[in-house]
Amino acid sequence: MTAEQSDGARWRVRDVMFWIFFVAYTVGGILVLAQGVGGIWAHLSKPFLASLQLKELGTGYGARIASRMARASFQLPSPLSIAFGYAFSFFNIVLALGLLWLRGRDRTARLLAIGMVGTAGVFNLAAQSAYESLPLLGWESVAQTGAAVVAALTYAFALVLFADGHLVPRWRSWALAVLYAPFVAIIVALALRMQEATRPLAILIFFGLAVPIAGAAAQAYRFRRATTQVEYAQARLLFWALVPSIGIGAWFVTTQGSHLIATAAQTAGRGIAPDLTALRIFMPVFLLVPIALFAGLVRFRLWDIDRVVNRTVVYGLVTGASLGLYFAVLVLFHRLIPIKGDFSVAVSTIGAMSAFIPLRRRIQDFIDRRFYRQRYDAQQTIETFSSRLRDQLDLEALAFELRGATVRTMQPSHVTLLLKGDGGTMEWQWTYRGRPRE
Amino acid sequence: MKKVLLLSAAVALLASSCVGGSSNTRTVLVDFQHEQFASSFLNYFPNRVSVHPGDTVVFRQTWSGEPHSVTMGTYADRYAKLLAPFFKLFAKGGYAALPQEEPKNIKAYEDKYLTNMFDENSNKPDQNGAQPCFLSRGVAPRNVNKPCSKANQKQPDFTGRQSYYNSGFIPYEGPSGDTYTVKVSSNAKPGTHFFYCNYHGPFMSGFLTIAPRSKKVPSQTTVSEAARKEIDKQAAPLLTAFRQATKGQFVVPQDSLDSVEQQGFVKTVNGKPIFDGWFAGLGVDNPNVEGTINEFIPKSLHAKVGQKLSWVMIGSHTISFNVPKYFPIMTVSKDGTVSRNPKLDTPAGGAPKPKEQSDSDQSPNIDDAGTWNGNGFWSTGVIDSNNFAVVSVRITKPGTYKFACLIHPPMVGTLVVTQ
Repeated sequence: MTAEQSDGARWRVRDVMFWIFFVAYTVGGILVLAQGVGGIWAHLSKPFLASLQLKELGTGYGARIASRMARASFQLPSPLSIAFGYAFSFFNIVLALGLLWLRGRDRTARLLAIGMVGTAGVFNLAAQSAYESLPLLGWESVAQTGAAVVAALTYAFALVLFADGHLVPRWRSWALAVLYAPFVAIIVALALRMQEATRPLAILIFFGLAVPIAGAAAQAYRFRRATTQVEYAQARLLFWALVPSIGIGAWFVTTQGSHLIATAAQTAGRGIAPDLTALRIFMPVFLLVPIALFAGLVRFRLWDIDRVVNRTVVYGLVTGASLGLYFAVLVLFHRLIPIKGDFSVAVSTIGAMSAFIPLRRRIQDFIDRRFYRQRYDAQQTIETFSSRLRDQLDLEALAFELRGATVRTMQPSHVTLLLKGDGGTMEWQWTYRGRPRE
Repeated sequence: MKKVLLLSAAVALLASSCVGGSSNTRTVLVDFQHEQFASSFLNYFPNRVSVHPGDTVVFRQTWSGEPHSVTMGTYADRYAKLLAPFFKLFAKGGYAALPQEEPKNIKAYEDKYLTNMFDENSNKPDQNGAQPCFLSRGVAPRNVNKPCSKANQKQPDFTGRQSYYNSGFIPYEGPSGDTYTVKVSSNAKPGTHFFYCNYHGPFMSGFLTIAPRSKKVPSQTTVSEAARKEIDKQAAPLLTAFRQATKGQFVVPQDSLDSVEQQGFVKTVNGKPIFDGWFAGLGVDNPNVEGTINEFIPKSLHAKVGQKLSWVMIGSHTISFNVPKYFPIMTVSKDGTVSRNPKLDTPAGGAPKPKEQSDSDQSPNIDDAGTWNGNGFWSTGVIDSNNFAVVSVRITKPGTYKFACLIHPPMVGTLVVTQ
């Protein structure tokens, strides 16, 4: 086996391990989010709540999940908070999947994807309220803490690595290990001390201080040593996006930290769901970071991110519209037609499913026209030209059609068309200065 | 060859799952934490369950702060027969319908054959009743400090013929916390067996029927439906009371009106006597409800320095500030000894000893717990009352304080004291 082959094999093992971890982590996150959705659904639907209240008296882990959702249905945050929370989670998960779809082998993209999936679960108040509506079992607590630590560490390292994928400063590996080891150790030590009631404070320390400080320090270093305008602008954008988080994090921990710790000590062991109000204050701040990353990626056309954005927006809207349709049909059945229960659910599901593809097409079309005009026009031009090819018989007219399509889609400064036929070579030449005109 | 072996293994696995998997599990809830309020219910849900020989009954406890046991055996079955007329009275009118004095024959039977988990006079658990004990014949040790031997603490399958079959205190901690499993022996004799809590007495009880294999028993879904129906029946009046109290619209029951009014906790709104104060625990005057609400209502309070803060306390609770991590009312040490945590009963931080009431005293238990300077652990100790108690304290330092009941885990509130 050559060195190259061996390297390739190692790389594949690493890939498989990453994907196993990522899938497990994402499924775990989605299950937590789903419990929140179950709580919301139970709040809206009395029959569903009744079925949960029955299931919670049964055996197995299903009874526990049913109990959680039933309890959560009575402790929901405000509708605005729920909508914001799920939009935040959805945005993060779709963006993470999009990043992996396009840059699945890039280290920074992988870390960012894990961090985003983690924050999607950690910062969803409805889901967290549902998860903590019952005292956590030992392994549930470990899983929750572990998920938060993984999210914090991956997010922090993604921010440090962004955008070139190298750790800063440019030291030797052992020196970097010495530099970063205490940071990792502090995060892990904090996590080990995390109890049910101290979890919100620990999460705020992770995401409100540790992650933004690490990211801001790395980006400050980068923009001081930037060699190009793009590098400078990227680093500066991310640095300033992280500063509010540090400011609010520091203010919150210094003014409220001791109170939160005292409260946590006094409510420890009582099985009371921790007060997550603090997370609500931080959510808009934490939203700044992915938005800045997003803006940085889009503005500087890194990682083909405009395709991710396009797909995120399109599939986000399609999912929203399908869910809206599903609930609208369900509500319509409940209000107007005496046939209820499974039949209305089945009709709503079939309706939403059958509407998915036409909706996706129309929304894709709308988004392309509204936000990607140039690309949309180009696509339209090529499609029109293709259809004209079938009908146009005059070679000169066809050459002019081709010139028009090329100019509209590629905007060249100079176009030359050479056609070789039986009668020798025919040549058309057009030259443009500045913005090409037809 | 390998293929043949694999095929044989698969067939064997399939056959074993078809032939051997006939035993079922049924779940009975011990106490319950309601979805909408912190509660304790001195009931088993459902209180009747049927199984076949070889099945398993899982008693799943909800830790509300109230200790429970599942006590069974032939002595318990005879106890149920003796109590039969009183069960009828209890079903109609609750504890109020029972005779004031415990009938002598029942008291004598309890003393001779049964055990209690807890001695109310000494404030200590009785080791003969609080520790597990499974006897095929004879009675549990009569000395309250002497538990059953270690050999008799190992749980055998339930045959229905054992004289004494007691879970003892079901701990809420540990890997099997809050769970007590009874495996019904495959040669158990069909019949109906009584089970009860030896802390809360024979009216927190139920019946386990071992049906012959030829007879069908209700599925777990049916069992859960029955349990839910019983929970909802018990919880409905409590839920109404809880909603009224949290909205400041709790109508004071007519029979307590005079005493509550005398204490200055009543205002009249639209001609109705509405409770005007703070609750520490809440119950309802309904003979068929064996549940209580374990909440401070309201949970968030504001007061001035030196102001007299008074709670109307229904049930047994403490009012405690700067509490340590929650500890259960009773703990089990490595050698199996069950002890009651002394921190619960003892006033702390300079609070005076709570007043005690005689059993016949139905007046409110008025308890002035003095002042607290805002530092260190402070607790009233457990305050009991026959009707209700009024507990007062003054706080001399501004600040934001958490207060809690040391018995009931979710019973926590926040008090903001300003100048």
